[in-house]
Amino acid sequence: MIESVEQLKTFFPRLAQDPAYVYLDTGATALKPLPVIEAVTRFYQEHSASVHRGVYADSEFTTSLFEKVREQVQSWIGASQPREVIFTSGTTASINLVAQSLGGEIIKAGDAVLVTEAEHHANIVPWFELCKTRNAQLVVCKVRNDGTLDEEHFKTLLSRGNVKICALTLISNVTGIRNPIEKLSEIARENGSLSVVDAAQAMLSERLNIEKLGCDFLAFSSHKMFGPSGTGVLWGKYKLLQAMKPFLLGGAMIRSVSFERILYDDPPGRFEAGTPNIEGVLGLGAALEFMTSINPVFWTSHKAKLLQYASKKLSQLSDIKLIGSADQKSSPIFSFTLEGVHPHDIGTLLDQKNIAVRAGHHCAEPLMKRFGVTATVRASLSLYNTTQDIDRLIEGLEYVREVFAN
Amino acid sequence: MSLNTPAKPNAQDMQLYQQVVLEHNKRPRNFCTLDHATHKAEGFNPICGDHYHVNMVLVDGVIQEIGFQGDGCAISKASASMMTERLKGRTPEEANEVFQSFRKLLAGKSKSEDAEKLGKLKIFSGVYQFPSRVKCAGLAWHAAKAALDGDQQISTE
Repeated sequence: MIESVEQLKTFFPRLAQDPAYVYLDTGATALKPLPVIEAVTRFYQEHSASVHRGVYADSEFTTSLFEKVREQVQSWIGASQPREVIFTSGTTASINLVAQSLGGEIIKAGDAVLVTEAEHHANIVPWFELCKTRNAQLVVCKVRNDGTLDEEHFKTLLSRGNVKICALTLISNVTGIRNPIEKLSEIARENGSLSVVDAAQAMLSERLNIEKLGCDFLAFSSHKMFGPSGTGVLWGKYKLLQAMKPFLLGGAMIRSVSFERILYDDPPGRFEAGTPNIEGVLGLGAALEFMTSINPVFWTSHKAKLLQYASKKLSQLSDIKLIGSADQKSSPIFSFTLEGVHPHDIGTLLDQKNIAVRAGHHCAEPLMKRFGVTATVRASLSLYNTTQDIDRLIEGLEYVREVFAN
Repeated sequence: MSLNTPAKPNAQDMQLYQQVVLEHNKRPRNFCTLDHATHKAEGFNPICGDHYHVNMVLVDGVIQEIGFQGDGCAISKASASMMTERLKGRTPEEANEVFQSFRKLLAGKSKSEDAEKLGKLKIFSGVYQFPSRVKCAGLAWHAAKAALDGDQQISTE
């Protein structure tokens, strides 16, 4: 079991290569641990083969590993059956799949789809276009000044009775604030709406439980949870998946093809057209095993420690304005502006001090606008970060001030 | 030898935030609107929010007055400020020559003698090492070119 951050860091070659590197952009993508790198390399070196169709040893072996990852994901999120786990190319693809295949079926003229002001573009744009195509309304639930969702507004919008899909983030990639999905999905259900959850930012923050969340669909990406990029998951209730038309069309997702008639496979195969990102899925499996090897007590306590320390240190700076209240955060993600210096300049100067942060709108332009900014700096921490990393960030901001003081 | 590790910029190139740049950011030259502008355009970088209006007054084929207004990062503002100093008094053809030369500099494709001709602007010779900032340095220039070409608006995306 991994019990400490020193022990955890030994698994990350990028950090061993440069112990002075302060990586504060896990919100964009997580660093990769050795077991994930080894799983991908082993596939390339020892059993490179396609899945599901071959009759030789390597293919059978690779296929069994691939399907084992499906079960690992099922177990990790507490789903009732592996058939509900669909492998996609990521959260964005997963949400597009639901918007087109589910939305395309159930959204009619006069219906509404609900999104919030805090959504990532991946959980806005597909719904925007769906509503346009189906002559439906996109309704937007507000967030409060502290960054939390306005639950009263949510209830009001749902009570109108025409919302059929609620698209909600679990944890905001800008504020690190968690939506009470358990409550919201229930309100949605009571008012005749399904709920689709964007869990991309949550996978390293908490252990999900699909039953408890109560949603109908959930999407996340491998690369934000130590795994390779180009792979993600859509989980959906089997009954709903069965009724959905396919999304991408081609090989692997069919039962039979002739020029007169095509029969499609059942889920999950129906939604997995083409050769999948095999190494991505195997890497995701290795990432889940790695995550299982981290002591949950250490996980929770270290995350809390980082959250508390960073909140305290940043609140001591009078020229920093945080987006969303530190008190409301579930995850150590801090987006902020610094008086008198543009986020891009801050990002470049911090880079000169070997500190990696993100600067921009974080694919959340509506949220930026809600808080009256065009861009912010975002520092997003994960389990391989330390309180010293936070100290270095604070020192880095002092350096930025010095440069601009002249 | 690994071809995959990112090359670290050299110390000189790293000096993006030299005195001159910071000075022009803090006290930008020709930072004003020209009500009687004969040529104007707007430049916008939606990714980071850099946003400028460039105005010019051309008389007898010469840029007699030039000003800019707006907001953005230090690189974009300093570049805009130095641009106005450089283009004042020039013809549109001369302005275009400077524009092409500066573009090459930003792309890291400038020969040293061409860079020298750019004078103070050669301070941006290191920007190509920071590809995400090249758009910042070029924004006002694209707007100025658009203004001279008769286009009203440019976006970097």
